[in-house]
Amino acid sequence: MTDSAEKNAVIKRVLTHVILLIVAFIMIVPFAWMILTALKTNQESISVNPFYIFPHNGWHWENFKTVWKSYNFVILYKNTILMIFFRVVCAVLTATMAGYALGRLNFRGKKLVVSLILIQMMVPGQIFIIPQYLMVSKLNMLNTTFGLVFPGLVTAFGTYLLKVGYEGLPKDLEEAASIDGCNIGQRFLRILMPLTKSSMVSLGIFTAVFAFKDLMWPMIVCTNASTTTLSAGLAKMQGQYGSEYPTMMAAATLAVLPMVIIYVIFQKQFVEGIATSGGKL
Amino acid sequence: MERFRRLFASEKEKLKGRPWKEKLQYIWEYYHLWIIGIGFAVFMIIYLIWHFTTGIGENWISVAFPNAMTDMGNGSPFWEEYVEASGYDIREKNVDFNSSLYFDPTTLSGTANNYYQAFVAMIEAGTLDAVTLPRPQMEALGQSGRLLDLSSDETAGLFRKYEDRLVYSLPIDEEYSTEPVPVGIDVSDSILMTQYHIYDDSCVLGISEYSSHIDAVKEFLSWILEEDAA
Repeated sequence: MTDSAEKNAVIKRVLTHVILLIVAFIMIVPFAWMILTALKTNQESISVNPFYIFPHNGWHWENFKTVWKSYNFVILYKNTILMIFFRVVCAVLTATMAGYALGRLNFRGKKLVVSLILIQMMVPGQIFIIPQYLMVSKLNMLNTTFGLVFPGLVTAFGTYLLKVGYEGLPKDLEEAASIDGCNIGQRFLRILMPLTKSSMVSLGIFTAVFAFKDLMWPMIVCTNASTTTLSAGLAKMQGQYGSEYPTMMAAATLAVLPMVIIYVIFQKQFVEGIATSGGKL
Repeated sequence: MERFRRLFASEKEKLKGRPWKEKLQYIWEYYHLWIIGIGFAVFMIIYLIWHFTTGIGENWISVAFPNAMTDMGNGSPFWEEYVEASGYDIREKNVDFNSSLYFDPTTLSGTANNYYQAFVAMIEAGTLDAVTLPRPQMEALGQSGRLLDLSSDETAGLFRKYEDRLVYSLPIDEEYSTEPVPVGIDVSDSILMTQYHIYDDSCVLGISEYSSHIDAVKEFLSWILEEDAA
């Protein structure tokens, strides 16, 4: 390699790193600001001096204690984790089965069903809020975990994602399994389903993140403090602690903890999931 | 059915004479997906039936207090005081108060949030009976046509009784009305303001267009205005 080519490669590498560092900085700043504000006094937090980054009057860990005492975070964590768990299980289960049926089987009305799924994906989700709310209300399921899980029981996006996943698998595999004596259930469970693991993981991650971020649905169906989730609980704090930024930020820091833990544990799957589906979380 | 019977008989034959531990291991090894699936389905059926039969879906009354500066929601001192005063049996139906909504109907950007969408969903679904807001915000909300016209037949009594407290609003939809319609009752002198300081300077109560508990709203109104005490 010539000197100039080597020089160009170094410049390119440095530039890439500089850009990545800037992007990383932009991503990290809000989180750092949130955590640092949670440890400040109220006066410090509303200081307009941009260089007033770190707390000057000591680290006020008691903000976390105040929030923990005012809001029952154990219940908020429990409700959120239950909602995420059941939504992920139900979404993956139903989408896998429906995806297999739509991707591999031939039956009358299949095209119509696929069209309906696509239509459902094209319309804004808010359209379904009122009928879903009425259904949950008529089932006497307001302020219950089922009420929270209800809109995530089935997912059009997930069904389509899995359908595409199953369509991409070679037909020979299924034929070979049939020759070996596998029935339809065995072909699905033992041969094809394990091969769509990456799509299932992607769907699970998407569902978990969307469930965690979901604000409107928990706000509508769970009006009791004992049944609400972290996002809705946090929204309530916004009103109650409207001018107390350290308390609000302490609550926000506590609220993101489960997602951070999940991310640390499933980091590899998160990256693979995004790569598989080409989606943005 | 015959297939299942034959399968059951052959599996029973295979397990004959084996110790319990081995039997369980064999069943789990070959049928764990079935066990999990059936277990989950049974749990869901029992859970749904139990909630459907024992859960409380209906409300005695449902009131929203958007932008409230005090907690007026379920379980708050205000809620407890009202439940006790009204005599409603909350084991039978709910008294649902919601003060976790924050939006400003006076501006377009003030309604572009999840809180307003949640509020609209509740009002359109007909589960919300009444709403309180400061006067300018209630006038703005009244323009949307989501509040009951208090001059209608079903609220004729209220219209006459609170004539001097009525708050008017001109609907955006000209087909609905080209004249201002009464959409709220000024309750700035009620306990909401004097005792609970819910808003800064004014408080107006409006009734949802789709409310099915207008009598309960009338009683609530009487109670916050301390009319019985007077």
